[in-house]
Amino acid sequence: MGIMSGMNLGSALGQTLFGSGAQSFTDANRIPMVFTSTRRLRLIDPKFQGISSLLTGNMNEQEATVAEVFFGGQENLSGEMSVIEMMVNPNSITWKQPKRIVKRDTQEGSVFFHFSNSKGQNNDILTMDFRGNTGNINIRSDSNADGGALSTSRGINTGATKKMLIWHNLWQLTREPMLLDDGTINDFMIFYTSPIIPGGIALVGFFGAVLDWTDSADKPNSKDYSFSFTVKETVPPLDNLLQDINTVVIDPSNVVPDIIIK
Amino acid sequence: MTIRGQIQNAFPAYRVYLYGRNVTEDVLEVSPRLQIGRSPNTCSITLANELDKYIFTTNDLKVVFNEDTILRAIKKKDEALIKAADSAEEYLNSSNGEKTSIGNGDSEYIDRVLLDNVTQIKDEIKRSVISQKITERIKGVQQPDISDQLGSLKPLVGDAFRYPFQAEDPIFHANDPVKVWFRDPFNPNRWYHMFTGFISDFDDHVDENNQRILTVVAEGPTKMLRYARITTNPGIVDIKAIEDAEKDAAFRSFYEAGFNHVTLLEFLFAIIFGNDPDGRYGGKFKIKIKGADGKQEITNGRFRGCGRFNFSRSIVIECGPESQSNYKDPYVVSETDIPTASASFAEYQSLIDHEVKDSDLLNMVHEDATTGAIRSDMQNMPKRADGTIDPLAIIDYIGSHPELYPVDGGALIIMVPKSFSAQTNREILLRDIVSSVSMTTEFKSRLSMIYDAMDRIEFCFYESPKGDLICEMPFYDFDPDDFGTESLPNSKIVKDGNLLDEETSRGPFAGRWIINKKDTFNFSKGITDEKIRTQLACTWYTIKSWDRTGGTFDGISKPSVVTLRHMVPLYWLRLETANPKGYIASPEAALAYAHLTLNKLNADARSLGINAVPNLGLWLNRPLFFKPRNCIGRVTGITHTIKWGAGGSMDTRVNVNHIRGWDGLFDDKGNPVYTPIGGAPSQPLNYKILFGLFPKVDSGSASPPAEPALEPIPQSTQGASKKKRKPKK
Repeated sequence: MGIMSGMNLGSALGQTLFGSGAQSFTDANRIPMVFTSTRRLRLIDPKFQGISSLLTGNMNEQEATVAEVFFGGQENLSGEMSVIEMMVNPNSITWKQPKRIVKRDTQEGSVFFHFSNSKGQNNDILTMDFRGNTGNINIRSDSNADGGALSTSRGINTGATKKMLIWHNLWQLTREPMLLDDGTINDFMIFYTSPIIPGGIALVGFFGAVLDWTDSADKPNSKDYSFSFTVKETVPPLDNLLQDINTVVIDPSNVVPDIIIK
Repeated sequence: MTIRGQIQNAFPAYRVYLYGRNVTEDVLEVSPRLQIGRSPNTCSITLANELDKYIFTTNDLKVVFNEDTILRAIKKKDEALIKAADSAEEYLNSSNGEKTSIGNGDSEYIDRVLLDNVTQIKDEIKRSVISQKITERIKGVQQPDISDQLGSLKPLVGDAFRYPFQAEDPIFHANDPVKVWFRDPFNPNRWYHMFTGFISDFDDHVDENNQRILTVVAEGPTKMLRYARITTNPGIVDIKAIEDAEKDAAFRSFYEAGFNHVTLLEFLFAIIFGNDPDGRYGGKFKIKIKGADGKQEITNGRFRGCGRFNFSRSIVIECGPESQSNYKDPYVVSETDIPTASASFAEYQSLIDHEVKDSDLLNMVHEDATTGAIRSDMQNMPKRADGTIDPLAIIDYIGSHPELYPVDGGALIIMVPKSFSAQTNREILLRDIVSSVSMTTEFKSRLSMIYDAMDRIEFCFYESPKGDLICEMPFYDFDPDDFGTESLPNSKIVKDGNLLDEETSRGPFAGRWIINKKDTFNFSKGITDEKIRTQLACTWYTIKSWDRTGGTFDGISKPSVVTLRHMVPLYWLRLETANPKGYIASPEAALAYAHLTLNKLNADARSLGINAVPNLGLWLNRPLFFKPRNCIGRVTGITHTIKWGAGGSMDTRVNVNHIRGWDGLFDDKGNPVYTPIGGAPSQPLNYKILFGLFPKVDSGSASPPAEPALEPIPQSTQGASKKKRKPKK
């Protein structure tokens, strides 16, 4: 199917998240944030090597298979999802990328050391702080008949069971090992969309800490949580983002007009 | 409010190559240390060793030396052999006595399997290094046969691995090449060669959080000279063995520790390039030694050099005026044609300069390599706006081709005053009489022999950051401006009719050797009274018929004395005696030696350590003007450190001795004149006077010039202070 083989991530996400019939994000009602890891993708294919090839499109046959079923949100018997598709997206995400500048004072002035990369940029590592709320996790509010799936049309089920399962998957994801048994790095990946990045972006990196959450009596049916994520790679690269957005703006069919983070 | 110039922006960058691989991405900290003294330059490199990427792990070993694959390969090769051996291990280690041996054909066959297995290693650098090393073998190794003494032991034979990998050791080995470059943080278009050397030590550190750091310490190319030993005075018992080994008795005697009868220049060329006087062995350097009567020519002495140093670019640079001495050495018995050229200080500095330039690609290449392909590659390298090659392309080419640019491929460059005649240095330096004749032959480190010779006259022997071997006179009497305030079109130094460096722009150098207050983080300047001396006595010997008796001498000894009288009231009479290791045969030589020694002792009385913003243009043994304390000193050690990252920094630490301060004296252009501790009279032996560069002194100076400061080296034992001469007007 060639998922992700091009650099138009928005189109790829549109197809994979909302079915092959969806030609773009405009066919979608809501853009869920998606979390996964190399380890979880091995639930689909135990020989899966890593997600860098998945993102860049340099996939072998097996990885292509993984890519095709990747967005299906499969889960195993223990409830562990190969990908975690949020029912309630985080409600606050902060992007932080300080500069690598060190100031040292001399006896008559100061020297600012700019530690730059091969492009001459002195940008430090991108880290992201996520804050969110589980949504309603009162599983008694769900009917047993439909497995806790959200059914807004009937206005009966709240999807609490599903929300709770997804949140527990997310918590477990932040506790996963960094190294797998065969020495492969367990990369974590977030597919992220926002009105400010209408084409979407894939973030590869690792969690800065296990997810923090607060069990408060003030919110008996929902819980606040937060975590940080250190980004080591993005697709498309951040330096190309402006160019990609410019493309989206020129072709409005790629834009989701009613995107909201939650 | 910020003052203009108060804020400086610095852009550190480096490139580090180990064994021809660019490991820059993993370098957390790199710190080359350049020094004069009795040890090579060093460089410490700290690598992030993520997932043991620089370690040959047990798992890697199992993959590479996979027994099944090796056995299968051998089986295809020769079923009979594999039947004879019970296992791959036995096959690999079998002796030729009982079962089979690994002939060249077998090892090549196995090597192909090993190379196939290496491809399974994931990390690119690790895979690349191991695949290059794993098949390098020393052909035809045969252990000595000691079966007569120890019974059943059979000697092992075969092609041994040159790099015997063992599990959990680093993938790099001792003596792998290391090259380091730094970018000038204040001028990002300018890169400098910063270190060339061999790996020496490793520290594989894993902390409680499984953070893995591999620290590599490397030493400069003279490391080779430390381990290459040679004998110069055979012992009584085994002189026959020395003769059997074609050692040349003309070079060596029972009674001298150094080489016999050669000059300092000949000594250095011979100890590095060896001696092949009749050219029968393809050697490049030739000295012919005449017999004790000065007539009989001995040409059969030969010995090996050390390393692959570049003879074709090696040269002696002479600076300053000719000697005015009429002294003739009666012991001239050596004959050679060491290449010599005259040059100014600036031209000399441009020859050894360490800024990365296009011509480095041709100048630094191993002398036996052909340059046609390199010139062709240069055409395709990315260019800058001014048409010169991008320095990073030059660096990458040199760094990734250690076979073309070996660590020990530098030239020997010697800088001496013209007045430092062969006769003088032959006598002062190398008559190194041993205290007693040795019974057995001693083999000495070539490097320690060089350092011993240097110590006697306070010359310096060090490695340039490019890897050249530099021997120089001391420059403690000079000022930065003496090395040129303008860029040079080229070095103008010619050897065999060719420019040694065709680079079109080098320098200027003087501006690099100044540290201002705004460049200074902190400094520490000290004065140690205990190190000051005011009088020095040096013994000399009169020896009759030295050239005919071959060592028996009938001499007397008495000291030549130097006294710094004007310093006596303040520091008292502090007598020091000098017992030169070598043989000093005249009162004039003894007096000169006494001056040198006194200079050397008092040079360390004042010390200065500076921690400053990066100054990559600094050079060893060069004058440094330190503005915050208004003094000039000689650089004895430079350590540049880059610690990368958000908490990182970059600085330069400089150690300085021979510090000269200002005592109110101006030259005729209104510039202050800097003098050593005790003022101008305390240093009658002043190289700047010798070179005619000492400034004309303004007669209206606040402080009149002290007359003894301009005194030439006296030709008698009566001491310097009794002769008077008017200063230059």
